[in-house]
Amino acid sequence: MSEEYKRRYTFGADYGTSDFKFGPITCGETPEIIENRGYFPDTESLMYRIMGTPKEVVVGKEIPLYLGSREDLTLRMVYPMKNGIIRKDDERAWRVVYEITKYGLKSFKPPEKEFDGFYVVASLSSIAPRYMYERLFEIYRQIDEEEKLVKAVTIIPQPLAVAIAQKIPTCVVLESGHGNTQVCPISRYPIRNAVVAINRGGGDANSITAEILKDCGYGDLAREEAFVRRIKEEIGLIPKDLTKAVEAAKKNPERFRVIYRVPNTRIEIDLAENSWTRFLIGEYVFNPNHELFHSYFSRGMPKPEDARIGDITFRGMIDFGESIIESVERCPIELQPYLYGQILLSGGNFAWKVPREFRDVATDSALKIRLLLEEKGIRNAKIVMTKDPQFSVWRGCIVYGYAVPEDYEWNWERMEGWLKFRE
Amino acid sequence: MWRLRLQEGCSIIVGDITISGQITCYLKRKPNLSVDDYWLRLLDLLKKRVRFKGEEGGFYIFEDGRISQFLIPKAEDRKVKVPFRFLTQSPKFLDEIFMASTEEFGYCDLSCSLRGDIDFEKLRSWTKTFGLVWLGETEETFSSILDVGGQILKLTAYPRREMLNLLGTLRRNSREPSGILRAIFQEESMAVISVRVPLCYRESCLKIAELQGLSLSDVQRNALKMCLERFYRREIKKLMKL
Repeated sequence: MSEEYKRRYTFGADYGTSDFKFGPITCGETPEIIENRGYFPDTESLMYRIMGTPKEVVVGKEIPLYLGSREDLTLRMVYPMKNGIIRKDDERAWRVVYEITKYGLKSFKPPEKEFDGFYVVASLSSIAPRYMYERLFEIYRQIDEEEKLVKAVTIIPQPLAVAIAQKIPTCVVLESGHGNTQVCPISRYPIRNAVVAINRGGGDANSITAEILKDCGYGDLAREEAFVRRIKEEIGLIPKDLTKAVEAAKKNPERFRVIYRVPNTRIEIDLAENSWTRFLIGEYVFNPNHELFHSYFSRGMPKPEDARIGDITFRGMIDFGESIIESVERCPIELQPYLYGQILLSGGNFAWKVPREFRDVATDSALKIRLLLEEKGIRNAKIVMTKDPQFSVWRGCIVYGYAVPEDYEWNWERMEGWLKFRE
Repeated sequence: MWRLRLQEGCSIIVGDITISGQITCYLKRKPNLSVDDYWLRLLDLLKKRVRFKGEEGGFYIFEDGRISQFLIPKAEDRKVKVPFRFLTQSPKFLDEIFMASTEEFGYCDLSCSLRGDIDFEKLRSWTKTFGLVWLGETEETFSSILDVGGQILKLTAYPRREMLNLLGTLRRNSREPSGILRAIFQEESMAVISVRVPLCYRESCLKIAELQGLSLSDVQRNALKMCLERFYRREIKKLMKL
């Protein structure tokens, strides 16, 4: 198979905790996205006997067509990854991964007779254990046996994909998704012993948004996660300094007042004199240690706790600045200045709006990280926010697949190269 | 997000379009230049054509679009390949990067993805009728090789994803990308090519038309397509392999 063939059919697959981003090189700059979840319909139901039996697992945009009651959801909807990890024996979760992978590959199967499978670059969390690699390879092997869709496959850690996409071989990557955040120093390859995993992501910003909505009298709406997420994206702000920002907002509530109308509904959200809480949403992601959050914890909002998954401890309350320092300080001293010199922010959890009129008190993710580092004595750090951060892992997968020679075979020691299932 | 509107009256685009993809540009190899210098050289070529607004997170932002390095430039004999990615909503910006990329060697490799509200049914029938080679279709895609003003391109469409991809080697002395899009999106009128032929040809053509259940103009169009196919055989073969 020629190098040209591989380049034409390079395929990227980014397994995020919340979303699965996938697509071939022909997608240009933007992959397709579906939620990383699967629904197991009740196939015994009489309706299904009448209307025809559905698939055992439904994934992608069809899911809403099969949903039942809220109680059913908890039983039948499976989100396979928790903090980027799938338990070894969680067969339903692996089944969902199989389905979304097959869905992704089939969506782009080209009609040409010459097509003999994609060169797939899959990307997993930097803390994914070896069994996840083995199981994912097995899934691709199975799909290839059934559909001849996989010519070769390789797996790379997500932070490495980000570094590749940005063409920066020595850096620290902060990849923050819905469920968790990884801080991973890279010197040509991820320094696995220095990875710091944080049990906090966009989902936690949703949690505090829901609490704020409850406090403002919108408790009924706060139960719907998709709605809460939208509100977070519309009104959340990252403060440069939370104390000062809250003070400014309390002094002049009208300036920061936000009224959000949900399109095509009669729903209107008005935080009124509580508009200062907008700053809590952003701050909570970066640093949940401020005393203002204590009242929420004491009223029952779960604190981001340390969680142990496999051999990895996900830290709950560590702030992002501290986590970068901890990670860098596990690397050789000579390397440390270079790592601080290139800190890449990637993942949807770093995409925050900074309205022009609030620039005196609000900021973007890059500056917030710099301020957190400066507080701890790290100056001159260079923080780069990747463009469209939610897609940078997928882009890195494509670049990697394009560049790795077609005849470079998978090596378990180096964890790189192509694994092929056929001659 | 930027929005693109092609001229009004187009029949295939019914909404907004985003254009992105990769271009491999070829530059003359020069002594004492490092591979990074070739990337800077490409940027200079483009800066002469489009207003440069600055660099942000590895992306080079221009007036109507952005580019970024795809792979590190690679020297081959007297050429240096400089692959880069682009994103725009302006076909004019695509023309400018095409002109910059073809300035030294007269050609570049393009893989261009278009997303948006496209009438894929119309596109399917247009490519089936006017494409040089119909490569086939599945539930999710269809694919064809086209001649657009002398540029030979492979078109792959993904109707459910509202996306299509154009792939090929573009030559500077043929049609520019915005012209290619105009043709594909049926913004230009049909041309009549008239030829005087001996009467015996006309009789044969009528016979073929009758046997195949086609109109005389369909037979003439097919004959023209066969002629173009033969003329572009090498390029078509290359695209079919990809």
